[in-house]
Amino acid sequence: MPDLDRREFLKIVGLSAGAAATVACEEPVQKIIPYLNQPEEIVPGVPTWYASTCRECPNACAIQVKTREGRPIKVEGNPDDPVTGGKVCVRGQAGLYRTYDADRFRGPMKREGDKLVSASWEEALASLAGRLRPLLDSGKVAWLGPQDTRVSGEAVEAFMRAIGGQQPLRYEALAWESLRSANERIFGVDAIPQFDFGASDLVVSFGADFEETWLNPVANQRGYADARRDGKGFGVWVGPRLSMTGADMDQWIAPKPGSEILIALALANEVARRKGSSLGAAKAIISRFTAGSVAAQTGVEAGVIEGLAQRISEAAAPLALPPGNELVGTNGTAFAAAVQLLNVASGAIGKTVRFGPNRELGKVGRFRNMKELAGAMRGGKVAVLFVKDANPVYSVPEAFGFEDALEQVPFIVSFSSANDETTAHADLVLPNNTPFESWDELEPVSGLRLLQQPTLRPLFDTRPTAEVLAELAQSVGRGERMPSGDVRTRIASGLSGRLDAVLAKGGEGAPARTVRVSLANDLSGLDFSPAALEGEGELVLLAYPSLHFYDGRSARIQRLQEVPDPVTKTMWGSYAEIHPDTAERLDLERGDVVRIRTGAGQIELPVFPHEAIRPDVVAVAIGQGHRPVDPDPDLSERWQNHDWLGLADVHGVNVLSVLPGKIDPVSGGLAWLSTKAAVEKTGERRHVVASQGTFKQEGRGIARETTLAAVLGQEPAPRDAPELIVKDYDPARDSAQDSPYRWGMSIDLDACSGCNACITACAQENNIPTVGEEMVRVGREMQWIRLERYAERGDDGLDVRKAVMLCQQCGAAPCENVCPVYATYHTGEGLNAMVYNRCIGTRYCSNNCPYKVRRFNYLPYDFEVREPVNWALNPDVTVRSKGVMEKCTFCVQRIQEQKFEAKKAGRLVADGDITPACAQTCPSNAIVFGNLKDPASRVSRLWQDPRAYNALKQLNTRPAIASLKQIDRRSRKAGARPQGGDHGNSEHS
Amino acid sequence: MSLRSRALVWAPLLGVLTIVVSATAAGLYDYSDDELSGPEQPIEFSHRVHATDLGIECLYCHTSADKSQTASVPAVSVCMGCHQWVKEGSSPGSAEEIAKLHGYVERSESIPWIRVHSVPDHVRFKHEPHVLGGITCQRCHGPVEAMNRVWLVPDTVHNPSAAFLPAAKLEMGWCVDCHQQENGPLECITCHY
Repeated sequence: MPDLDRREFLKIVGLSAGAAATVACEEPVQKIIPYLNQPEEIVPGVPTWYASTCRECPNACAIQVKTREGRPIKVEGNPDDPVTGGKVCVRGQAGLYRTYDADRFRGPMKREGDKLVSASWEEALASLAGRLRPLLDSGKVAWLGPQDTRVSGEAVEAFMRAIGGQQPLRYEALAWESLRSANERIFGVDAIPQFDFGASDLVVSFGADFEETWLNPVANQRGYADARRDGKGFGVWVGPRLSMTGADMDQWIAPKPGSEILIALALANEVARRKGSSLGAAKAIISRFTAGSVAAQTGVEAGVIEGLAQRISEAAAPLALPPGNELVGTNGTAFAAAVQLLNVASGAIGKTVRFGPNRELGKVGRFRNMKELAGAMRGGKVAVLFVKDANPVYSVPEAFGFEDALEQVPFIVSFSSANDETTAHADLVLPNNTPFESWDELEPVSGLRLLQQPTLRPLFDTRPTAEVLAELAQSVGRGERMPSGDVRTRIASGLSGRLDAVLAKGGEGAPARTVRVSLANDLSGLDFSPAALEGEGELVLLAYPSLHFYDGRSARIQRLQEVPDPVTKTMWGSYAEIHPDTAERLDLERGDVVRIRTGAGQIELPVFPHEAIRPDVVAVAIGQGHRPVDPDPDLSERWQNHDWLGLADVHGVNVLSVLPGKIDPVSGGLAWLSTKAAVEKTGERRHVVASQGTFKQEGRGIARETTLAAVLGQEPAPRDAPELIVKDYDPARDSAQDSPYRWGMSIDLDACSGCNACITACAQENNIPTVGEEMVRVGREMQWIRLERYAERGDDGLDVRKAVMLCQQCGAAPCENVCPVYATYHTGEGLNAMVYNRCIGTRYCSNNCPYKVRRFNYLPYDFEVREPVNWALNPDVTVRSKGVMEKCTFCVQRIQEQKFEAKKAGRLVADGDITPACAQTCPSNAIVFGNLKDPASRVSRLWQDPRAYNALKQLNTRPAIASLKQIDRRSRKAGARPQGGDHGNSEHS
Repeated sequence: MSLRSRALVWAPLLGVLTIVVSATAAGLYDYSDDELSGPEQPIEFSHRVHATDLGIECLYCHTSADKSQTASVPAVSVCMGCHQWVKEGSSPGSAEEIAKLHGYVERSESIPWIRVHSVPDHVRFKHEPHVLGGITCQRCHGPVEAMNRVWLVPDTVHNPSAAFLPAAKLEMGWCVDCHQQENGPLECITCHY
């Protein structure tokens, strides 16, 4: 081998590489495939919006779906919806991924041995018809589905009648049975009424997470935030764990777990006495409960209860919320009845609790019916079971033995569009279209009819269940008993207006008028004693519904797995929340794996100590711990090369599996709060995957607070942040002198509930990848918005604060100075722009950013891998590649679009023209965007608010975002409350 | 290093280099037929016939150029608006080409045109502002109305001295030159976000 010197070697290598590069410059051939027939309503490149209805939970909010060239890419609320007013929650924003789900069934499947294999529709339907024929009129065919839409639901009813099967069972894991039974006992109405947050100046919630899963959280939050503007309103949370909703309220009362009912009874009694309200026959029962008599049992001082009773008596429009699922025990009906009696005593019935516009959810089956069904299955009385969009194997406590009963059924047919624990038992799968692919109609609240229309053609070989049932009935000779006409005709026939006109709006009607109810007061058989807690162990097990996963149905949506939990800020798993004192006593640290043992079983999961929970409680969110099911082995092989998402992993544990499965005998609902648990250290440790390392501010003054008196100008605002270091600074640098705009934002931290809707909306709008547990664990999360939560133990109770942290678009941005390639720079309109194609990935900018809001693409998180997940990409935003920095852009694509619209019209951009995705969806209306150079704009006026502050202003970064300080909850409690009253408008639900 | 070992290294490399350089130079200096006349399309569609001989406006087919970011390639149904009647044109061979169009329609297939003008994924180019701003189509696309097959004209190359580099077509400096001349916005985020 000849010896070369280094210089010569490099020369040769350089030349060869140069030559190779020149040759390789050829671009790949790209094709343009035009439409065969251009649809009239589509202009290529211009989005088309369709009004439809969100189906991520039973509440059904009206939405608008943005589509580009026939593919839905973004969901936004429909402003014409009188209930939600154009807002969507965290689950609704991610709902598209149920359609763009790579795990969906691609067509019908049949069982062969222990596997599901593909089948044709003809074959599947013929085999099913053959099985049904001998069973006609035998009553041995059963149906299990969720709260259904009108047309689909009618088809199911008709089909089961036509073949002589059992009455269909509509099952929801969260079904509010106790509230319905309590209403039946007290008012003679088995219904779920409207709870009008917008009209209420005082809300007392008994563990009802009304901003998370309790009835319609979007409408609730919108009304609650409206009623609390400018320091008005007051909220009280009664429950052992301060949930996200609880932290958005002003007072936390934490009675001994299970004894919350006594607080409700004592309040009802005290308020009735103060206001002289008539409670009829109930008076005799509740007069036993006084603030003094329940103090010992609840551990809540009599003074606190009396103070609250006084406050309720004085309030103009108080509202008490019947127990949330987490507090429903075997005494659930009595508890809900006690709260409704409190509402009677305080005069809330007919005012803030309104019967008439009742929720459709009040018509589903009860948990007790599941027990009956399981009994029938065990007794051989079910020969064929149809299951649609219900997953009882997951959501019914294991102690109940539902899965064993299911195994006794000879033939199970599933209509689910994706595999789950229940469908895994199916012998035949006839996948339904997803809501984004189907027509239907819903009436979430009496009188309000919402339409659901397809926004794309079915992606796979799936068929609407209503049509499949019609065909089945036909082939077993009972076709004439099914409703006639296709789904569209049947929808149109039920409307008062023309279908097209109603579709354009998204629905018709309005919530029904309030009807008067009178006291029936049948309290017989109600046990007004604390919830029975069975089992050994020193802690009470609190299983609570999850903001992100509802009853577990949304856990398959990866996007939601990666949004931090609103309280613990953890992702991708389950955590046992305990109080730090308890942790110390049990010698546990964050990340220690514990075994939680109840009479029904045990689960193992890491502990997460935090302050916002009673020391005698261990809390675990439901929704996680799904068994992996894989319908398509080819796909899983492909994903092994991209396993950062951990698709085959089980995330978290299913806490429902250790509930004893007790039932409230009166309502027939599941008793959630029913067991104690033994917590043992296993010695194992696991990483805590979280977006935040500490809940302490360490005096940095990021999330700031003021007092109500200071807002009203009665006292100076408290100092809780370092003083500004004054430096000579030229404000002209914020934006160019000749620019009419400087874009800015304000975020009202007092209105913000921390519901995470903005995070998902942002991720959808801006093509932010989901990176998976492994990446997040090493700090590589990609979301552009971070909701920070701080919870510090103060002298008088727990001080919970939050901050919304996103790129501050600083006027003197530290990131800009350090970029060696001018990839991030200041635009004339004050934006801190990020030019992806210039970025070389030094990450200097991120290191120099005091807000830590820049995100780096460590890997090619390309969306292509999991077709059709990439179909949800927004074509107006660049998909960033590996080695590129990214961050919030203030939705620059929306700014550019509106600037161009204004230019065409020959005007400047008007206030309100531009709404970034986060502000658009915020149910609290906490985020306002606009032009800071226009003194009349909403954002400029909010910047003048005495509560406005810039985060870390002392660093002289000159942010373009002002946060409005949270109003100290204690100061609200202490009085200085401006006159509250009917500030909401009566449209709110 | 001995002379012999130098020669040992250089001789084969020089040989390779000569081949590579001459091959690329031929490709660079002399536009290939393909490059001067555009790629072969699934149908030998002539813009010259339609735009010049028949005088059809650009926007008649590229309907969304003045109302969307994409100019849009016409749907097959738009072609059929005329061609369900016009089955043979004036130029030789037109009957066969129109028959191909009818073939696509009968098979309910779309036509897989080869893209000639493209910008990278990190560029958000919008037709609408340019068309409404009075920039003629030819300014960027060249004299398409004179072409049979569409091809990228060398005029669209930014730097005349580097005009032989095929990779420089529709590149940023050329956009910026025009934006400077015509007072277009010069912020990076006009196109990059």
